[in-house]
Amino acid sequence: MPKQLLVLQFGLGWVGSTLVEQILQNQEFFHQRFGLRIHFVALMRRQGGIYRAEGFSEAEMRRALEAKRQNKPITLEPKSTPMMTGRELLGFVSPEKFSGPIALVDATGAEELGRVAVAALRKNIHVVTANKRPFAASYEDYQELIQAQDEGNARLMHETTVGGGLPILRALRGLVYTGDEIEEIQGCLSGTNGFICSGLEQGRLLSEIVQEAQEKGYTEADPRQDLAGWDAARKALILARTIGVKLELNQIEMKGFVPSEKTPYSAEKFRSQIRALDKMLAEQITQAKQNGAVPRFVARVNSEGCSVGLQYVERESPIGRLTGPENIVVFKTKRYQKNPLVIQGPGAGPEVTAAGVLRDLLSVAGIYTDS
Amino acid sequence: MAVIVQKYGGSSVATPKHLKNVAQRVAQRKREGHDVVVVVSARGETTDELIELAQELLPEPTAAGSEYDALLATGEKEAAALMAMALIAEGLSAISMNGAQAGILTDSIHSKARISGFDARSIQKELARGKVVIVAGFQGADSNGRITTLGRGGSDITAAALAAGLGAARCEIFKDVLGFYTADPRQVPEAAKLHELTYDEAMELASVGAAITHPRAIEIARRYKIPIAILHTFSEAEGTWIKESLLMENVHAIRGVVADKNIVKISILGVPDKPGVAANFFVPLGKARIKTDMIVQNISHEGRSDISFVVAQSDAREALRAVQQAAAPLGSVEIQFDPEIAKVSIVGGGIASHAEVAGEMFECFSKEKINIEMISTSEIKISCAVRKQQADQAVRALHNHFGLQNQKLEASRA
Repeated sequence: MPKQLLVLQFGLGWVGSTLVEQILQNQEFFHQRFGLRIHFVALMRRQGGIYRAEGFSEAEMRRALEAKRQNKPITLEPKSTPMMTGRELLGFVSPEKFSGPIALVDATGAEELGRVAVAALRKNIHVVTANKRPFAASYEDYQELIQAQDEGNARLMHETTVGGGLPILRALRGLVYTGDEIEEIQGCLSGTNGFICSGLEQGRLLSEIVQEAQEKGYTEADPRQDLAGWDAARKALILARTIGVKLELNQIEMKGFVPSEKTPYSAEKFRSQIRALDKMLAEQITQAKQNGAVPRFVARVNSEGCSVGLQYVERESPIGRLTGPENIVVFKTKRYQKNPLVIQGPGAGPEVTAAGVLRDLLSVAGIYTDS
Repeated sequence: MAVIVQKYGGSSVATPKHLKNVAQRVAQRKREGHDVVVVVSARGETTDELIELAQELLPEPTAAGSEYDALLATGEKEAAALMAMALIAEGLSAISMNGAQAGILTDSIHSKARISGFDARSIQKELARGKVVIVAGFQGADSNGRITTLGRGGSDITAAALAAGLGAARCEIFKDVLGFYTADPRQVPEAAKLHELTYDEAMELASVGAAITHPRAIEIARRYKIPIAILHTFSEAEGTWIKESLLMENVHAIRGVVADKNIVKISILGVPDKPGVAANFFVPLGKARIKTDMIVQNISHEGRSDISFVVAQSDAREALRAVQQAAAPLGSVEIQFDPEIAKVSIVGGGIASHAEVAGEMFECFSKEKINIEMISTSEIKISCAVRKQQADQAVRALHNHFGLQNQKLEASRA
């Protein structure tokens, strides 16, 4: 009897479209190796999408991806039902009507998908997500999400919300569940800030590196978000909450390159803001070098709280040896005392992140159960 | 004694603390010697919660027609009764009524009903007894006595209809904003509050997306010449008056810039080019009370053409369903929908008499490298459909180009 997995796909951006591609390309492999067929029954963009209980064909999937890539309209495929919101979609999906598990995949960056995830879990629909926003929302909302999983039979998998494809959360859970005590977690969790720190270490100016990062599309539309450290802070918050620290995002100590502001972004103002930092940073870095230290954008998490920001760390340390946008997480625990547990590798990128989501998906399909 | 109708929205009556606050406001009007009728919306998120509850049982609860309306109407009834209690606690004599008890008669189109009549007697009777009457907004009953609801903005419509039927001196609509602005202050920090608008201007601003009050409410007020005051629930500051213009000519070419991001563009591609095809799509849409806008038909190729239009996001599903059904017999017709679109509009009584405005608007977009995908115009507005992520930029550029931040001075002179 072939196994079936039905997927409600939210988000057809970088990670989402790569995931769809990976699944389409490996359909035969999954079938032969595991006897598994994956069917996409809903394709949702941020503001709407289409649903068909029988699933969409490969050609229809590719048309949807192409339309999204070109920012073109959604085609209402024959016999498909238009959907405007995730909640609306869930009204139509009844797990008892399908043979095989259903998983909602969230590859968006939208905080409001957290409520959709809660509703899905309550309907016994698994949730596999790369979207860190719902996990970094208010503690109350976060708890509602976790409770929705704990109270039902569906699973909530979010390995890729920290460190992309790296197995960070499952390693952390492994420590916690076996009774180890976490003393401190340190890590570089932001690729953009890692790229900036490497540039600074090489003696380049902050303004110059930031411009390059912007041109290469490494930064968000408002680069102050990256430089203030919000991305790293959200990931640190998820780590903290995973070890049971009750913390809000605004309680994290932020020591980024720029303060976090709510004023509208102006490219011109931003450039002069960054240029004003060039000299001071260059001096700090020269000074640090003489002491054998290098700039790194470090998140620190322990039971007391959490901080994120620019720090000067020993060059000859796991974090000091890190280069470029790579991520690293260093777990110092009661058992990993002298030699901490280190996980390092690419922390972003659509291929590895999508593969991480896919691994979680195979896990909810019952293919393997190591998390 | 003049009658004043006041309307308070869901966020104004969300908690007992809010209700007490509002009760003091109402008491103040009463002590000033007015007869007061208060219309309330459902508290906070009540309506959303009721919809979610219904969706657990039926994926499309609106299909249940009168039952859906009967469910939603409870939100306002609850708020009305609580409001009455808050007023009694203030030492006033108060009575709450649901829409039907208040005499609001509607047609039978559930969840989008229109008011067909209003029997003022039961409210008048209670006012004569010195009571403050609290009416549950958003609802009425059809000729069979079934509960109906009026759709989005329904409580404002109730308030305007009561004000009209009771010959009120004015209709006060209390909001969590101070009134109409030249642009949404969240998008344009230097936006100026508008002291006064004509009915036509306010109606146009409201219908292109300024979420202050519902165009249907303004339309009723216009027909019965009832002035509307938009006021802030927790502030004494002066808001916006909506009334007849006292000016002979329009001083302001443009009063405001609005972006409506809650729209969806629907395109029907490859429609056979023959008489009656447009009606084939738009008659069913009209029957479902779905308002369409910016209808565009392109030049046909090989006997087939494309039709595009926009609808409100809340209507999009139903609209697409209607289009899907209408297209089924036509063969190879493709239907597309685009939710990543926004409508940016400029509104002002003087647009018709200022020929240069349209050109300036388009030039302003071109300077900002904003592509215009659709255009529609009326006497007093010009709307352009653009990509949603460029909408805020478009609003700021237009606000700046037309110098709307200086309206405050002109408006207070007028």
